[in-house]
Amino acid sequence: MDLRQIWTLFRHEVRCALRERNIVIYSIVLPVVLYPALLWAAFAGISFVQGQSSRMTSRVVILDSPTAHSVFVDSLDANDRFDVIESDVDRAGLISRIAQGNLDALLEFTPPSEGGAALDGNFGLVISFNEARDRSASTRSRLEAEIEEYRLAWVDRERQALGVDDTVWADFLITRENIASSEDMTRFLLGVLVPMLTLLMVTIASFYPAIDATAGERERSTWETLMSVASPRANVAAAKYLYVAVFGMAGGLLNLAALTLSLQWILAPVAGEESRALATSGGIPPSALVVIAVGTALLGLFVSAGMLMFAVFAKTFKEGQSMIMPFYFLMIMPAFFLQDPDIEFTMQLALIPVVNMVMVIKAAIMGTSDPLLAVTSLGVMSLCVALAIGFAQWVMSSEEVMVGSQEGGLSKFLKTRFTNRKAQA
Amino acid sequence: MPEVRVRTEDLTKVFYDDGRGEVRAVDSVNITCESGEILGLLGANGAGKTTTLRMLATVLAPTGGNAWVHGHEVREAAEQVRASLGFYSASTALYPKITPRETLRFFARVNNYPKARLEQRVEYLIDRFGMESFSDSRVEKLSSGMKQKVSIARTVAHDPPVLIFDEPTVALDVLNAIELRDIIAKLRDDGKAIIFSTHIMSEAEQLCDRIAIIHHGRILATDTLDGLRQSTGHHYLEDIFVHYANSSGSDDAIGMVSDEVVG
Amino acid sequence: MKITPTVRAIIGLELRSLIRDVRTVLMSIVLPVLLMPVILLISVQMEDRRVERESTRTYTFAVTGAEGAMAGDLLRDHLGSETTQSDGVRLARVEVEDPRAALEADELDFYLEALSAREWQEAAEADSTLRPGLDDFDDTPVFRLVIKSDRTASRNGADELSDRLIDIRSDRRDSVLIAAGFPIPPAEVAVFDTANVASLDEVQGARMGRFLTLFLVMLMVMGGSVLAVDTLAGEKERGTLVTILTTAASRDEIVTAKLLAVIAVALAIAVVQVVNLWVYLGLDLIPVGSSFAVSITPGTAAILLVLYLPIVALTAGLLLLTSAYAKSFKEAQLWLTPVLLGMIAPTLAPLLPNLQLQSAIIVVPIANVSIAVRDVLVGQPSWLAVGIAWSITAAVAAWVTSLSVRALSDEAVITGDTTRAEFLGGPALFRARVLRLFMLFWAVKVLIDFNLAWDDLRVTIFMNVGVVFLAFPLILIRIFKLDPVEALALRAPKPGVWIAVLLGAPAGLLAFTIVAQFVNLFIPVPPEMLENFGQALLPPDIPVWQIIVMMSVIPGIVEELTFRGILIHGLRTRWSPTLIALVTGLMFGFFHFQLFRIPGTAVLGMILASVVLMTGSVFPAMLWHILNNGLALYLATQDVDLSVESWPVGVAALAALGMSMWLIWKNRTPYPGLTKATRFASEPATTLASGRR
Repeated sequence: MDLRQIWTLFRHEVRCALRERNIVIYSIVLPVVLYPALLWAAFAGISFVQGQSSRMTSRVVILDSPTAHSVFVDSLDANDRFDVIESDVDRAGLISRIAQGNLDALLEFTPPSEGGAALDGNFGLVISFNEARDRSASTRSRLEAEIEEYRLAWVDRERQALGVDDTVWADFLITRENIASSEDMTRFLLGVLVPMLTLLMVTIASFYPAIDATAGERERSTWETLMSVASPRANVAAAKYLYVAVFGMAGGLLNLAALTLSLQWILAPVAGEESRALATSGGIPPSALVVIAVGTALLGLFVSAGMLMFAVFAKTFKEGQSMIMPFYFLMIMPAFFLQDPDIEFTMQLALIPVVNMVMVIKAAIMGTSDPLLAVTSLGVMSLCVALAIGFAQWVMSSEEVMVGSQEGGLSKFLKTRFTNRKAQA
Repeated sequence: MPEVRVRTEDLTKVFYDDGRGEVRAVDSVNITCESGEILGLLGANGAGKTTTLRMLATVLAPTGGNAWVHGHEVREAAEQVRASLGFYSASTALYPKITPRETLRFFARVNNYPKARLEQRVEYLIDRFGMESFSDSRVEKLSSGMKQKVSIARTVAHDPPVLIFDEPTVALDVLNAIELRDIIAKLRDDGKAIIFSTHIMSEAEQLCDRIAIIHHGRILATDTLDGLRQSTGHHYLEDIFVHYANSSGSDDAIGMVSDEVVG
Repeated sequence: MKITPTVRAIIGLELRSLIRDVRTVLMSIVLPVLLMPVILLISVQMEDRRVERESTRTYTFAVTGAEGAMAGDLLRDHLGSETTQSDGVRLARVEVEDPRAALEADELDFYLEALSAREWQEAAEADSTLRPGLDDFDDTPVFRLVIKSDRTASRNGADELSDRLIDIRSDRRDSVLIAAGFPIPPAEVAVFDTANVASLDEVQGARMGRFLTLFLVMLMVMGGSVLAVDTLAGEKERGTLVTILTTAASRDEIVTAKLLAVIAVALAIAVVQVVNLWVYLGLDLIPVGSSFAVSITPGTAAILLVLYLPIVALTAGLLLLTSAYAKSFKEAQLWLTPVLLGMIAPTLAPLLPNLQLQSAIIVVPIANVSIAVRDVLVGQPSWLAVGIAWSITAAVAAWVTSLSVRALSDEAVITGDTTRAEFLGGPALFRARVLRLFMLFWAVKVLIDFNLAWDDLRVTIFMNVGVVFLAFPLILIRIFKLDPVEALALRAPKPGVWIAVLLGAPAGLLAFTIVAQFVNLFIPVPPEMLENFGQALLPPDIPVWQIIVMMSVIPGIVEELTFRGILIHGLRTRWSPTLIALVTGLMFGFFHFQLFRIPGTAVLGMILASVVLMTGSVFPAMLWHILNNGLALYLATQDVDLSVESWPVGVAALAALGMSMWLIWKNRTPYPGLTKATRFASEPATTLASGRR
């Protein structure tokens, strides 16, 4: 292996890629544009709905209201958010209007329950509403809140009349304090999102370069040109591998950064204003950053080796895409397994490649790193990366692949390889 | 009695381009082509051959002048024009996933060939171009020679009165090119009007009944080979071409080299 | 759209080619069908495990504080030392030295700090963020649940204990009250009951209606793209596009056939996936909590089918359009992600609560039909609104389809050549790219605004407005080697213009307010948002004059350079002046991000653009912009409400604005290089008008 030669070949690959508009657009421009645009659309939608809801009045008809509690009805009438309607329509008619959505709720006063009859002036209430309609469902909760407030005030008046002491009545108050700082919160949220996204983004970002470096080269018919240079094929393969790995990682990280920057704004209300500064001030400790970098690098190296292995058999871009697809899904699957924030990082998980990197990155961000697990994971993953690279190198350097005479994909290649071996033996 | 099948009248194509402004790719071209005749369009790369032929095939629209194919005007009756011509060039490819038989059936049908005689026509073409052995394998599996046969059969699938061959031999090896020229000559004998563009002098010399020399979008001369020899005093077509190109004023014939780089 | 034999032949060819591509069929259709249940199963199981873990786990907590003994007794009396609740949640009280340290170290889930009233008051005085307000209850102890919210267990455990404590308190109050002579248990006072008039079907319909369109569009885009990316872009790549274009098939027929083929594949894949899912769910192979089975009558099904027609057509049309403009299979593939996301975003509309079809949303294609579908499933929709929604989406679908037809007549698209502008670069390329560059800039500006904020508003304005809007045109001038004077329209106008601007700016501000009032009818603004916006603009610690200067002079200069300078310069050869003014205004509006600000600022942007187009100079627009902002801010500090209540004021404002524009028109110096006329002369060169008939 001649490092200088590999470097020259690698630079050639990178230069060609950077000059191809598609790669630049997809891995750089798109993430920068897409995430803010989606973010903006979400923001616009939410503020539109907020405006609509704040202006939405609840149309309510009240039946059989007792004069003793006219205060309650009057307070609803005075409330901007309620539109108390006088109606001559009979009950059935009102119910059908609720069903049609022309009325939001019917509030009926009824005699008090059996147990409550002993209290003078007590009553019961029935709120008829339509759960299938948003406006009616929110009217129900608005009404419930109003009734509860009225009820509490009434009981409190009765209590004072009976001379129950304030302190005895109050008994104790319950309050809550959160000792997690906003950094802790942000770290928690990032810890849930970033590890999975890293895996997704690195996989997605390696996808295109892997096909480009193989099938793309064949489509442009520059593959043979490259094969005929005075450099061992292993070097060509190594340079291609480096290119895919570097682009995968760089593209993935760029995507991740654009997404995180966009998401932070959504997280801000949850995590407190300080989280905005987190990205710049580095709320994640430097040691964790090193772990994250190493984890991402190993993921990138592994994914690139896997993708190249599949894509190298393709003759057209389309074929390459189909060939990579199974590996691609396989890589993305762990994201579904690991969506639970409370999943525990155990030794078993540390022994599963890819999954363990996601967990290591998560632990590093959340500040719960366990050295033993981290070292084990990194060791296992490094071993897998080495195996993957070795295997990819072996596949890519084979005669058939280099010349492009191979028909079919990786599985067929392996089959013929091993059956031939057996036949020879 | 031969009839005029293709006629252009001051056919012009101006490209507008933010950078260069107006570009007259084809400038007042007047050509005719009769039934049973091969008209050769001879010019360097970028001379306007492909643009002219693409206008006749209604892929591009003329910006000035008129053209008629089998009596139909290219702008007013684009579909009738296309129904009455077969267009073949190095850039017209075949659908890879279907068989030659399906290919012929498809193109005959979309070109409105009478349904009743369609199967008969497909069988005839398979027989005529010697495709029996591979008529039911997929096109993507065929060799380039086989593909070429399918391609020509596809061009004449609907038995059009006019055929346009845009630099058909450009990517072929010698044997395939000779075979193709033979086929084209036979098609002429069937009474087709054929326009054939090339930048290869010997090809034009051998095949064409009349030759139109096109340079920088203009037709410099149209005549039989003998007629051209007489008016220029040169014997070889190459010399004749250089003679006209030099006398056209603008650039020397070497200009075609720079055109090639840009265009 | 006529199904001719040619159309049928092309559809046959498309479908046959797809089916014979075994690997694509396997990977794009079979694999997802197999994967979907797997993913679903995993999600369901993960969720089950999580719920089980939470419902069976023991939350450990400690009790501390001056009133700790009282709290401990209370808990012991009511809960026992360790209590198992009926649903399996256990709360275990443990003794620790330092609960806070234990909580930090994850040894506790949370703890209860029982403070005396005095301690609480002191704590509240020391820390203003604590909720004070115990004045009425001088001797009431306060139970503070201390949690660490970045741990789920901590939050859940505290919720659990909090609920228990509230129950305990309620019981104790009841007994106190009854002991004092209250005739009934207090819980029996004003008992309310709810009655839901919606049937189970309607409720489930509403639930399903929220997701149905999202689900279908996702499946359709994924399915349809299998064929779509290959059909036009792939044909260009393989060279079969010219072949088919030189046959007697018309462009309409080709697009119709391909559209129908894409629709067929998209629907087929969607149906396969739905059936697949239905089998797994229906046979209970995958358990999901609530049943999604809705009894849809044949009538409703027919309505849904009709409602979805334009969405199906639009999906297929967009996919085809993407494919038509892409130069290769690869490129078409790259644009799929944005197309997918762009299609999905509007289908999320029914998920937003309280969104009514009878609102501005009715003009948003896809979103309007998604809500109409929900309304139909709920029952008794407003048919007029449903009809309008349907027509709008259908019109957009038809338009998109016609764009595909046009793409097949566009010579540059067919031949896929690099345009000369790309080859040359410089000003020519700038004119071709200016809109794209502004969109990119918009996205970058979103990121900047959301992520960069300084403590001092002045610094924020200087950086996020001043530097950003100045840097952008300067970078463009440098990259594309433009002439700065030309590009930024730095020319002197006629003197009369200045007077017109002095008249126009205040009148414009009033006109602007009328627009805002009008728009508020359709796009209501949450009042809190408006208030926050106003407060953010006028922080109390900065002198008012400084804010006015910062927020009028800086934006007035740099925003004009960006929008009325370089943007108009880039667009000047593209469209008619009217269209340039409209587009410039809209672009300016969208750079103001908040939905409620967009329409008003867009109108202002259009006025300013017309001023520049009429005077050929950016300077009058700068003055206008500065006056507009300055005046608006000054009036805001004086609490002057600008809303126009009486129509004569409005008419007077509009008249003054009109007069000012007339004055400018009289003193006009046309913007140089508005060359649309010459460009038009050679327009037929780039489009094939004849291809269709």
